[in-house]
Amino acid sequence: MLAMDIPIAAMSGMILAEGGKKLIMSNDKNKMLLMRFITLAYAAIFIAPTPVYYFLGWPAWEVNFMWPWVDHIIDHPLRASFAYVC
Amino acid sequence: MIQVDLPAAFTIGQTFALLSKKYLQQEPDLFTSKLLGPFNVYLSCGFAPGGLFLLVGWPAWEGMYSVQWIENSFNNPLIAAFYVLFVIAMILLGNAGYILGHFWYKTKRDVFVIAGIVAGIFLTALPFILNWGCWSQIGTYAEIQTGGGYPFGEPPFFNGWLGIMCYLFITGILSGFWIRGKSRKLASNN
Repeated sequence: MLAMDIPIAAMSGMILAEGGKKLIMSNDKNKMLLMRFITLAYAAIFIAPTPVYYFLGWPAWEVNFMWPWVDHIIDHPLRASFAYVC
Repeated sequence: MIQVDLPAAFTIGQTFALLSKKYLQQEPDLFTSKLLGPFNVYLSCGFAPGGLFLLVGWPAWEGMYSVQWIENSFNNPLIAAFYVLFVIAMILLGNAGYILGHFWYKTKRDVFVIAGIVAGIFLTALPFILNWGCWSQIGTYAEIQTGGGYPFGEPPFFNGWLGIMCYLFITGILSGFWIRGKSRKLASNN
């Protein structure tokens, strides 16, 4: 559910930052760039696809049944952009 | 269009490798390159969501009206997973193009990167040539099969398509300058 997925995404970043604490505190800019790549690749390949999957398969459930329009996205640019922003 | 976006992702990877040439020629490690981070910011926030946007809004058109099941992601785990795999495939192919370009620079085969870009552009254009005109009508699979739908240049499709193309163009140009600048700076520091 989106209301959970967004805080989970932020939390995952925090956990990765905690895991890389020593590297971050070392101020080694080159290693920081590598860590940023690992964090981004993890977010793009594992974190982000999960809410997209639920949003496409069960859109109303994914938004806690808050908005009826999520069930009718086809041929609506603004509604489709919601999935894109996710 | 799925058949277009996947080779386009690889071509973008090769093009960004070309823009990072100065730095990549000096970087010995393929998988810990310092520019993979900025490149992945562009891939995940600029390029890949564009394909997802068109697939979500106009699934049959994005699949070049080749299959009908693509429209039925609701309550279908496998079809919903297909959408997600499409996004992951774009990001992986973009990275593969970039890392392969890096490998070619590392092994002094610079001309292969240009050849890779040319081959990528050809593969990107090929589905358009093979299915010429299929992009010109907008509608569901059933509508197009019965001669229905509406022309490409009409809203709401055209508004959405133009908006996403402007976004892709602007983010692509800005990211290109950003990565080329970083590449030159890193190369001069080494």
